[in-house]
Amino acid sequence: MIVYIIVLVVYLGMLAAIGMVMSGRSKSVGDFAIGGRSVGPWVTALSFVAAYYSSVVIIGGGAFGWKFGLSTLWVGAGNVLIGTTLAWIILGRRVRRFTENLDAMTLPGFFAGRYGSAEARIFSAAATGLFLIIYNVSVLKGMANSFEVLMDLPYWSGVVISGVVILFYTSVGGYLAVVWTSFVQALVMIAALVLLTFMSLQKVGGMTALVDRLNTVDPGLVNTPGVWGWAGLISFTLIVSLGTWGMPQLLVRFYSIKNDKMLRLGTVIVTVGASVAMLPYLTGAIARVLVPELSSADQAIPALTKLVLNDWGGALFLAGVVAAGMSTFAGVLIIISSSMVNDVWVNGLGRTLTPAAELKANRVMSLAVGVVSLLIALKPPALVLVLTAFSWAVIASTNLWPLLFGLYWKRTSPKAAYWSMLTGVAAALLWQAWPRLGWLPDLPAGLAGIHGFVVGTSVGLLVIVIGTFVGKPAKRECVDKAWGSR
Amino acid sequence: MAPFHLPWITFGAFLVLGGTLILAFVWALVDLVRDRKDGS
Repeated sequence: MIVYIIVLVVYLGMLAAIGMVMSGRSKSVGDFAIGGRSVGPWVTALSFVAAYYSSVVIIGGGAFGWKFGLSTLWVGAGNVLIGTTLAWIILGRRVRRFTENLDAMTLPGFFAGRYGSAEARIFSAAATGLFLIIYNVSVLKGMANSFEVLMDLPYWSGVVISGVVILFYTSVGGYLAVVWTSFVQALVMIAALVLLTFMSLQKVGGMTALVDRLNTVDPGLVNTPGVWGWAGLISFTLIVSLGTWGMPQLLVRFYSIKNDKMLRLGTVIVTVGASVAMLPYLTGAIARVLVPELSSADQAIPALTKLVLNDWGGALFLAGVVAAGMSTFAGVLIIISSSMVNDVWVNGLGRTLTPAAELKANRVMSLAVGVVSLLIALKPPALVLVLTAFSWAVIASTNLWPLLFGLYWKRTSPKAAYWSMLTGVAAALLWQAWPRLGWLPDLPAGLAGIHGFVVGTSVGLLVIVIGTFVGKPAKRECVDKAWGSR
Repeated sequence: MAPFHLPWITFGAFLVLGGTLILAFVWALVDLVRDRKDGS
């Protein structure tokens, strides 16, 4: 126990120190929200990895590996190819250039500038803000559960310890503190995952022995799609891979990089770093062999950690899980606060603030949103727990197509973009709620496994394409400004 | 049978990962060369 305490105190103290150092460098709203567009490729790339993979991915990914076996490696491969490398290649440069041309610091701000649409700005800010808070609750819950299992601490103390440290460094140091702490957190997370994988592979007798032993448990744990089935495997891979293209806490990494040439080195670094996405699924499958008797699949990774790592290794792994959660939580916090202040308060409601007052409002808002998330996470209501399962689906259905089409198709209609958001969210929510609405007929068995993300984004795609053909394009000056031709 | 006694369809995940790493390097190289050409 003492080893865990030493490692955590040193680690959390270091994060708080980074927050203090960065507070001196956050002198304007631009510094607070996007680090004054001054971040280098290493920090941008590794902080992207840290924000992408939360504690939910490590613990939850392990649970999927334990339950469904090696077919889940495809989820990890999808995370790297679609969620990371293609996102950087297809979105990176244009997001960097367009947000600078439009002077946008948030995704709703990009929609307002690119489409000249106040309604798209408000809807995106509201839907994204609300569901990001819900997502944050699940991230905090994941971290607190790890404290509970690995350190035998009560759930509430895990929420408070991790929550308070994040609130401190985010509200004091702003975006720069978030990316620099995320950089450190990514290194800790990668080290922890590599250590756990190496030690557990050694314990199971190597990769070939793992496959043979899984085959004797159930050949469906080795085959693809195996026991999961295609509908579940493809839906889940898409939501956690393509879904990232609409997640503002990841896209902000592109706004804040120093210049678009740095995206080149960044793409290589981020691809190498993101490759650890395979490891939670692999270790989950190893856990199926080494710790087959579990009351819940969520215990797979903590139980494996206790079995194969000594106290120092276990403490490093806990730090890795906490790192994954903290970096995601902090990244989300800064996005919500800058969106609420800049998109809703200043631009949406038309309130005028001096630069100093706007900076202060951002700090206060990040603190307030963090406290609200923390209080909800202490005892999450049943509805919030249900909503966490599709927060990604809603956020991605809101932002994915209006962003992608806005970057690549000049003709895209502002009305079509707005209605794509609205119908995409409605379809995703309706699909997820369908089994719970008794008055609707049951879905056919083949369709029931499809996630609301697939339905929401399919509807959103149809609406934006058809709407653009029948609707009016954005005003010429908006398009010219976004493309930098005036 | 693929390496490690895995079926090819499951081993494909590792191939995709390897291909992605190569894609990132090649894209960065092509982009660098394009940038230099534009600059000259």
